[in-house]
Amino acid sequence: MLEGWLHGLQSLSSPHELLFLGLGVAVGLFVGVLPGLGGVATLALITPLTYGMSTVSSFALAGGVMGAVPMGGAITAILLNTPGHGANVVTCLDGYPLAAQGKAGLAIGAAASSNAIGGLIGTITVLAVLPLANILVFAVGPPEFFLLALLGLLLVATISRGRLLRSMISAGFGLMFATVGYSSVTGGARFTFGSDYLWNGIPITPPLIGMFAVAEMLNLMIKGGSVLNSQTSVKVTNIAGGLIESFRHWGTLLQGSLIGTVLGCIPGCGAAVSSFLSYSITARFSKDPESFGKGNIKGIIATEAAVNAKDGSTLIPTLALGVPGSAEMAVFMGILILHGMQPGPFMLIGHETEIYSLIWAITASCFVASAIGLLLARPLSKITAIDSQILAPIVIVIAFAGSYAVDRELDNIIVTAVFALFGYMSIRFDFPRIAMVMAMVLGDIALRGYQQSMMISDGSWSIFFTRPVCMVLMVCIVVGLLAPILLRKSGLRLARGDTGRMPGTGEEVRDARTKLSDG
Amino acid sequence: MAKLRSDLVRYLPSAGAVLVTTAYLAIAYTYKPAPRAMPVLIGWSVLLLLGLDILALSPTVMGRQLTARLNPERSDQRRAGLDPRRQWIALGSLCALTLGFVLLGVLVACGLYVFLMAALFGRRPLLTTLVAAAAVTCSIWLMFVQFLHVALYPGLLFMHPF
Repeated sequence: MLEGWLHGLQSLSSPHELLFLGLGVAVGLFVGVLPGLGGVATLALITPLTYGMSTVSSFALAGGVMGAVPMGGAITAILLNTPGHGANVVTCLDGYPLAAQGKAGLAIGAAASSNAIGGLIGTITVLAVLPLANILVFAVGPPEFFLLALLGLLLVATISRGRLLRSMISAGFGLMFATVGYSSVTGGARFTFGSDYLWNGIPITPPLIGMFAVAEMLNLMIKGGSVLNSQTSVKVTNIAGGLIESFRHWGTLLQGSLIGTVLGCIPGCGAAVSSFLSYSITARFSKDPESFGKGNIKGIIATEAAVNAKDGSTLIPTLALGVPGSAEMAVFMGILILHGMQPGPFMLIGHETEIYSLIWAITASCFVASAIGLLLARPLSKITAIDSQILAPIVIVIAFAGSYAVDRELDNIIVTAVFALFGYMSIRFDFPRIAMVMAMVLGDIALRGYQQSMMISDGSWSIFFTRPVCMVLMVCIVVGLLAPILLRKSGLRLARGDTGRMPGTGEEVRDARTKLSDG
Repeated sequence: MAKLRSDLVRYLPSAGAVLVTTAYLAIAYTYKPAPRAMPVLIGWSVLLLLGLDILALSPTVMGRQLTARLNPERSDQRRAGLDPRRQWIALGSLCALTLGFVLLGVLVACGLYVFLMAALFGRRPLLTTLVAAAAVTCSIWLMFVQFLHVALYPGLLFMHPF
């Protein structure tokens, strides 16, 4: 195995392969910045281009793209609250507030270092686990998917602790949107109104673009000014401080990387799920959860580490079993087949060097993309000071163009516009958007997992209590629900709502009454 | 009268959400039992939560208790002094942009939107807005059409030239 690692590294080290790696990183960063076009569309575009290349060159190019897209998406998520990549939605939560406070450099520095370290941890895990992959992947089925999604949905409340009721309403709407489409389990189309476009459900990218990029720019256009708060300066400083923050919060970095690595091994759990869960768990068990969503650097570290760690571990089910670990891997399998490689248990035997060169390419691209992102931090941060009346319409049209470009569907533009209106209303009337998006992503997984589990067990709930991984997830759910209550009762300090007082006391009711009378 | 109107406006978002959820449930009940099970469960849960939200908005003791426990950080941006006229124009422009995409195509609609919003809504100098509109249109064409080879929708009016 060690020999395979070294041969893979050696084959990637030639100038020719490094050139393709650099090209892949440049393309990945560029595409990552554009809302809508993520790694999936980019890999699909470059697949036919790899036909005349050697296998290692193709892998260097593809690996460069896969590792760099999240970093590009993180930059726009931080500067403009515009996630370039689906998983970067969560980066917006704390990245954008930090940019508005004039700490864009700190945020980008933290994102860059988390990206790099998370990617490294993910690929180290892949290198160690790949020969044992089939045990892990076969242990996860519909019951595990359902409980995993349920865990994520229950943690939604953590994200907006001070607005629990509105979070749950937003999540409910997200679940309602998740039911749209044809249900292969129960049979029958729901809420499609005869539309072919909605047959497979509402695609996730146009709503993300609408709710975050377009809605935020609409809000900015209406309020005026710029992204930057009027009292803060556009100077980008403390990038190095951002780099160091990831190491200072090494526990969060490690936790995020491990969550991304584990979830990446599960086919169907995309980067968005990894980032959501990593963020939620970090916020939930933090000493000051109410600071999340207002510019807490740990929110960025947890998210970016999980996103890039997932990149490496999605290779495990893809290469070992021929089951794509993510949408990107599904497209990447096309490149494998194009070069005469059949994904599956025998891949490592016949193509060890090529596989390990791909893993090294993804690792290297995380570092290179992070370094380039850091170099671009200062010039890109000036975007936050641009007049909103010029910036907002430009970002809006680029967002719509990106939404259309996902799969050249005009209906994407209409969906983006509808969700932009939803998103603006959510901002205006304080319904957390992230809860809706989480529920849309996780709801589909939860619904399908539950219905399939009931079919497997003939309607018996015992299926959730008799499988080892299910038991572990059940314990996680119970711990997640009870931990804050138990910790509070044991006298340990927990973060509470905005008043800092014990809920239900006279002081807090008086405060709430005062707030209501202000309106 | 102004206070009454202000109070009613506060309930509008939740009331609107109730209408949407009711419509969702009404449609869900037209499906067969198996496919409608989950939508019905979700719909009723959301209605219950919206009921609690409306109660939390009310100036009653229970409302204040609910707000204190479940929504202590809730804020309504309508108190932030946003100009309603600007809001309606901005939202209307979004609908117009969507229609523009369908009729005029991606490139023309993008350039026109940037120019009109920056010049008329934002009241920025004409030259600046023209340059910005031209630059963004060219950039989109270069990025998507030339570099990424993604054909952009030409629009109904330009699809079949006379």
